[in-house]
Amino acid sequence: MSVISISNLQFAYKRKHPILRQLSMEVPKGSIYGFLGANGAGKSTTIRNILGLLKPQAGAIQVLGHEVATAGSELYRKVGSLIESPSYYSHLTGEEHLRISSHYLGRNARKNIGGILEKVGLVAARHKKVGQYSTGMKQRLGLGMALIHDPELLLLDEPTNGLDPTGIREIRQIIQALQQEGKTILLSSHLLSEVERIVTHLGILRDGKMVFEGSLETLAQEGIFQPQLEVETSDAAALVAALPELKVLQQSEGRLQLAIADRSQVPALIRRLAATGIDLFACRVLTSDLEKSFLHLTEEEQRK
Amino acid sequence: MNQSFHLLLAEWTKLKRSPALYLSGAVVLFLIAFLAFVHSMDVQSLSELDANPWERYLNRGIISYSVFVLSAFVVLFTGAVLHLEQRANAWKYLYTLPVGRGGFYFAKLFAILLVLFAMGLLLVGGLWLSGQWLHLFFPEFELNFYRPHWRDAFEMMAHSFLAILGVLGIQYFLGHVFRQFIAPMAIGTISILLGFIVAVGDKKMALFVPYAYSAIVQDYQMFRFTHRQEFDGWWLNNIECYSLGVFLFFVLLGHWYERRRNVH
Repeated sequence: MSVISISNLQFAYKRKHPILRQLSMEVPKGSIYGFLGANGAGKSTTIRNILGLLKPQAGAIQVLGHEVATAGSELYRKVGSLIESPSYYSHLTGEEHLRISSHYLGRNARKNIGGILEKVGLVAARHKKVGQYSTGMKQRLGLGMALIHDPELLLLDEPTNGLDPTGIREIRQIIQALQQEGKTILLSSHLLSEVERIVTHLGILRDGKMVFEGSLETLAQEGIFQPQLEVETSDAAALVAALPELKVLQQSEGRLQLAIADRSQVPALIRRLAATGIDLFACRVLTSDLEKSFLHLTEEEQRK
Repeated sequence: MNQSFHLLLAEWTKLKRSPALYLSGAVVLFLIAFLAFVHSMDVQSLSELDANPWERYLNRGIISYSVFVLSAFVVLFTGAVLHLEQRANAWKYLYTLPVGRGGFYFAKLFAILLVLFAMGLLLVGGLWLSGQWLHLFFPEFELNFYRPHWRDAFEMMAHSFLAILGVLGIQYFLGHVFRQFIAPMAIGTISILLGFIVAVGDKKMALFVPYAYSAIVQDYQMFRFTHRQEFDGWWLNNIECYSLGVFLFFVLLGHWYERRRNVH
């Protein structure tokens, strides 16, 4: 079951410059959905459309069974969000921020202030003015404000932006704990390395279009890169001359990269290479990895 | 009803300890202190025999407030209140809460109105306290021999409150359209100056310039205790009616604009 379902979404700030182009995506219930893309790919715009902050020119967005275009307050009671940097009033304390949110969100949220401060690790700093908070503390406060009404769905737009490694780890731990509580989390980032340890599903956006949607395993294995056999040899040119049927992807003085369909071809190919009598020092299979696949998907447009 | 109360509590939490709220208190206190200081400096010419000194003292305070302070204060205060949200980049968070854009829009407006109303009360109360203080040092004012006409004083405040609503409506609208502090502030300041010029040049024309209302309001007898005989059965005078019309028009326009706006 999808918690967020988007079909053919189109959005442009200016008519001739579309930001989102026929975007479709499905976020499964209970998942941590990594929403990735380079800066400017349209991640924040998509999230703002999901939250009803922007009005799309075409397409449909369903969140928790509600059409966003016509949804009332009922939907927003089930959704929490943190969009880019958190919104904060520097003259107020962390606790006052949560109190303001709780005034908007009802009685349960008002009872929840202490618990949330504990959850995001701000009990000791609850009476400190937010203007004096560190970036990480502000980010945790933003997360607390998004969580105070115990939402089913959490939309986090680059929540680790500007954080040091400790801060990133803390946010990551909170997100994982939230998933274990049964919440669905959409987490956007432009860095795969920041989310790959925690996401269960992935959507990769490029230039306003979804170029990949699936699990991490699918991304790594689906052959975004053709598998290759890398050979270290004493004479690459002689090897190519001896076996002209080889599909050479890259050639340098002592190194060859050969295209292969899959790993099953490797033993026979090595036997044929050895039979030429040319010295072979090493052979290794290169399969696509997550990072390469991600870069391949997000940078293809720039290479064109 | 309960939700409206909590929306107002949220607005109050944001306002307390904010420069906007300090500004409103400071403006009133400064005005009272200034008036008391002027009276203490020129006791002989300002005291009058056999006339209720409270009438004169309160009248001067409220006129000074309405004519010289109120328009500029409303321009500054409305901008400062909206600037709290803009500086916090809060719209993108607020509009994802189960309140609705209209809820925030009207709660904030109502909070501004309440502060403005409270300022009026503070001014009248402060003037009374400063009058007591003046009496201690300058009994020749005879402030202790008479009682203030509270009803008249509060009616005067109510008139000036209604007359400024037009400016408030326009500034509130501009604050939402420009989403920054400087532009609405600049427009407001220039408009106040233009309002004075129009008011001096052509008072009938000034009726159509809300920013001039504070300058022409005396011509409509608002600040005379006999004003009720001057109007034709209407408690509201022309200025107040126009002011209310402008207020309603711009508040509704702003609401319409805000509901349709894309929040970047």
